[in-house]
Amino acid sequence: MLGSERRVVITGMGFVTPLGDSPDRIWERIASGQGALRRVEAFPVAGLPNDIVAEIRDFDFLKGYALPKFRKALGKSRKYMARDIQLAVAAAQRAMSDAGLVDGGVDPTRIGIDLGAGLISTDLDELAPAISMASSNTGQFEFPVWGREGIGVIEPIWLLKYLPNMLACHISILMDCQGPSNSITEADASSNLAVAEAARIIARGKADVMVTGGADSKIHPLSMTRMALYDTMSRWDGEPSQGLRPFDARRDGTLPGEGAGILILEELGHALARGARIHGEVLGAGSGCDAVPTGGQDPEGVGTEIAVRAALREAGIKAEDVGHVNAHAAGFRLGDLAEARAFARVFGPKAVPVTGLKGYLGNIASGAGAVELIASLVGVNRGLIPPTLNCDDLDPACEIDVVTGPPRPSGSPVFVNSNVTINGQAAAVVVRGGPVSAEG
Amino acid sequence: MVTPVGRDVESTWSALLAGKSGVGPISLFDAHTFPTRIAAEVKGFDLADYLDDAERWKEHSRNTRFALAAGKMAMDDSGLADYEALDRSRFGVYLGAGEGQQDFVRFVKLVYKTGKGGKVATEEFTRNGVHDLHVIHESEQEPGTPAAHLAARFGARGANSNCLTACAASSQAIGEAYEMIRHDCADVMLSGGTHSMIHPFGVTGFILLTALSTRNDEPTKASRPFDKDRDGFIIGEGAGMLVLEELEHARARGAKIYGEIVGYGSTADAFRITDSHEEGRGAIACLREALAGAGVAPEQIDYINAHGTSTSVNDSIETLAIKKTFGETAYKVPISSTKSMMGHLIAAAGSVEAIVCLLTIRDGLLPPTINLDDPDPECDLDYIPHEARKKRVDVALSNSFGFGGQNITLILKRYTD
Repeated sequence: MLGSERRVVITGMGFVTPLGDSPDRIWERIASGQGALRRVEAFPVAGLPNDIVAEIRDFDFLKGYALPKFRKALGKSRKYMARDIQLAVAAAQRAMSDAGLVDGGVDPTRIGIDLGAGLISTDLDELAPAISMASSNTGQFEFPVWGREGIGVIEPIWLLKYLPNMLACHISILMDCQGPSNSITEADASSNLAVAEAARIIARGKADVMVTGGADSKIHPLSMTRMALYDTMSRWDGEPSQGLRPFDARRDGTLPGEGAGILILEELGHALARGARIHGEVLGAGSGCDAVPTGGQDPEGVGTEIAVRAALREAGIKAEDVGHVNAHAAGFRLGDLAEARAFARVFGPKAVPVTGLKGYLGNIASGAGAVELIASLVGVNRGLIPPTLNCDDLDPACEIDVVTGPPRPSGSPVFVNSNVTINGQAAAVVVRGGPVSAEG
Repeated sequence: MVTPVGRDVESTWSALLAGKSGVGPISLFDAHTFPTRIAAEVKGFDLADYLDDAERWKEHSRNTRFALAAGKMAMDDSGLADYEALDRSRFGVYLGAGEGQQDFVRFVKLVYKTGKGGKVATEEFTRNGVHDLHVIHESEQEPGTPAAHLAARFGARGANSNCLTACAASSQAIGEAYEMIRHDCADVMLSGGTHSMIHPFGVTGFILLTALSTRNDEPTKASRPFDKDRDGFIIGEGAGMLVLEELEHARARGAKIYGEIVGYGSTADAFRITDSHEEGRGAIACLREALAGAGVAPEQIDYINAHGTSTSVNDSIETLAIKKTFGETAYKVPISSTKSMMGHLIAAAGSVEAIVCLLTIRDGLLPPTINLDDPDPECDLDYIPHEARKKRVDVALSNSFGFGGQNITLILKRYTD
């Protein structure tokens, strides 16, 4: 598909999420309805609409994820890495192991990388001493003091820790990916856009293997303050695990999550020739935008509709052949409804099972698309659709068939993974679960 | 485009041909004690000169305001603004926009107010932050927002993306937008970049990496690509926007065609976070890929717009890469770095430089590399020193190399039926 003879299959998955970092573990949590939303532990907050987040509490970058051959290099380079970058590098190692590519075997100039990344918030304590130095004379910030003395007390590598292209750069260096390297920074649509672009790069013959996906952590005092300012944060004051409620009548906002999802995409013939295990196939992708001139997204979800229709067209898949849709479903009053309207127009009202996983995972923002795609893939490869947590009372305005309760048997391994930003930038990817052969 | 030497395409182009530098003391904030206190600022910019609703954008980032101005000029120039037959679901936006400017003064006040013993008390930070920070100034830091603003403004309902690969971003955006059209994902893409890092954290970050020139006393001489005495780059700011269109779509509506994108190379050094590969491995592979894709031999390249940042490493490795790719032809092809005049527009650099390439094709004039008084012995090619030159250009090549090792090459060709 993808307008090319070259088919693009998924031969590796690696992820670090609040639900765990192995397919069995996240599936066990999803199937048993155990979400990860809890009160934040990483740092105290106050004055925000909420303190509920989906954290990865026991993340140990070196002990948990560094492969023996990279441990020494990563021990050094870790100091250049914000948490977002560490999550991505950790997940990428898992993905490369899963794909059987740790020991090379592929021409490095034929491996590329295309990741979704977020606006990475700076560690406040790295700047506090310099800011304090420039402010303590008079209580007002003084530029001349900052210029003379403040700059000198900041770590020289400060900027490098927070550049969004550094997720891809660290991975490309570690794994010798000399093909194309891109970093998509379009908030919650980022990783779906990256997966789409990576698949097209293989389809057009510029690479045989692409490392793709994305990572983000919005569990940061500044990122959470921003969510409060944008008025996107849930005000739920009940049981924390129920705080993010996709398509539910009582939804009123989203909650931050963190994590990384990395996929190894590979040209089918290349994968078959090396006997790789194939998890699924990327069939098509599309994107659209319904940003309205006054700001924000269109309540009718036109951008999502355009994205999904374009993805189905590229995939050559009819709407009725889609087994389920994994929606963005961030828990917004307007955003969830706009998506529901788009799906109802494309597939017909209540015609396709729809799920949204942020009730389990929180909103992983630039990493959300990749992590959610992986969760759906893990599901369909068990013949099941992952259900939606916390949609206890479906909003009657959402004319869609939301999968709730236990996992539902999947009628088709083909699913659409869709994400949209608060500005109406939408991206959809069509994936078919495995097995995949040269014929089918 | 909006650049440090002009607020539209024609004024920028005449300034570049005249060898005019846009570098001067930083005026956007008080930088007089900073180790680097010069930059190439966009001067006298007023969005009201471009849009009738400029007031609505007054709190938005410089990135957004530059992008709206450049986008408006590009759309007007293309004739698509009033083309009613345009299928808006096939009209997309792909930018290489940088992160927006941190709301510095509010942020440092908040950190100071909520700091205790060199650490920030996070409860105090969040409690005060929701009142002290400005909602638009925060949301505008998201690099993907200008792409949404342009889509809304010009009714682009199709594909929408933003990449941020440091100094390669907007070239990469143009390259990927070109591939999207070739791949039948869109008929028309508004593509380019916008960025300003002339803000206290941006300047601080680059000072810490010792990447900037400190020739503070001679601002107009500070950006000196390929010169022996170059000592770092000069931060610029601005935006460049192009309308890319599928050929038949453009012909059907009788559009004016500036040129054709024929080659796009994209590779990674996969070497080090801070340094380019010593032998230019990634850059060479990138140049070769672009030439091969274009089906163009090195002898057919009439002009190269170099990345040419004026840093010690870039200019010598870029020169080496051109030599290794072009062989003896390297000595015959005229090359210039317009960063000698505009500074380095970071994420937006490649988009502006791609436009420069199209103008060389249109006018048969090559902009110079100014300040090249005493070429570095390692940089021994023809960099069009000091003065513009007349030469017919049918094929032009533009390089952009990003911090972290992303290499992009675009090849643009005169359009003929």
